Amino acid sequence: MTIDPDADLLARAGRGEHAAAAALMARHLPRMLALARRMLSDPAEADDAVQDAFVQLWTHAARWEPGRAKFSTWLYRVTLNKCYDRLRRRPTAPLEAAADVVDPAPAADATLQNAAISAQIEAALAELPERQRAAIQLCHYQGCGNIEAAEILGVSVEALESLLARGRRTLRGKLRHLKDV
Amino acid sequence: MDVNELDDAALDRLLDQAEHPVASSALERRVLADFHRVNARWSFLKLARRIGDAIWPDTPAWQPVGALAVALLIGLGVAVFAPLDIAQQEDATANVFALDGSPDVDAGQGI
Repeated sequence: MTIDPDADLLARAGRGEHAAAAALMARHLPRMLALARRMLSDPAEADDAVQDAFVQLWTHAARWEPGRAKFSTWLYRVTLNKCYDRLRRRPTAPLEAAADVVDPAPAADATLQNAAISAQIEAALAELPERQRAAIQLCHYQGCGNIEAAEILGVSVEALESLLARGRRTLRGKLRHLKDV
Repeated sequence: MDVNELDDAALDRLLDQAEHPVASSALERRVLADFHRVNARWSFLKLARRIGDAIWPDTPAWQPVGALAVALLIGLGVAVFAPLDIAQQEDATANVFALDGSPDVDAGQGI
């Protein structure tokens, strides 16, 4: 049986230990934020979604029962659900606006060029349907295995593989002009 | 595959070039402030959990709850079945006292 590395920190945070809460935050905040930023394409809204997810974590920390589920899987699912809630509440589809930010013109300065490439990749990711985006975020950026990613998304492994394949196919098409970069 | 299309390795390389967001210190402060706010909130459950931890530390909640439920069942069982025995005992004792104290009883000694 594998031991969840977060179990001890969670138990201590549940008892109100500040240091344990800070350690949990340091371990998971960057990846939760990356997930939320990619899902929402809005830094401020992503911050709010992550904060909401942490409130849920603090509320449930004392009640966490080790062995029932992997903590990080649960936490990313909570974060993803907070993002979905916010996406549902949006009146229009602002993802097109995110795509407009991209400037494909080649920049002379390398830093600017890297920033432009990065922005184009972000825009291409932002234009993907949300579940495909989440699948790519979890598997490529968070380093989740297919089984864990499928569990977080609440789909079968086959469905996850299909989401990944479709997402990657779309990205290959959208980013083909960057082939020689 | 189209010759102009990216292969898997090239797509992975491109995806790796996307920037990695860094959490602001303001967000970290907000998250930790929430931790203290949630912990300061009083609730019956939290109080029960603290009492449970003091009596039966480091166990999942179902163990003390299960023990309490078993104790309750035993208590109810005793309450349902034991009073009959006690009542019968009380009646028998009362009869003995009644016989001992009766002035009309003639023990056959003719006194």
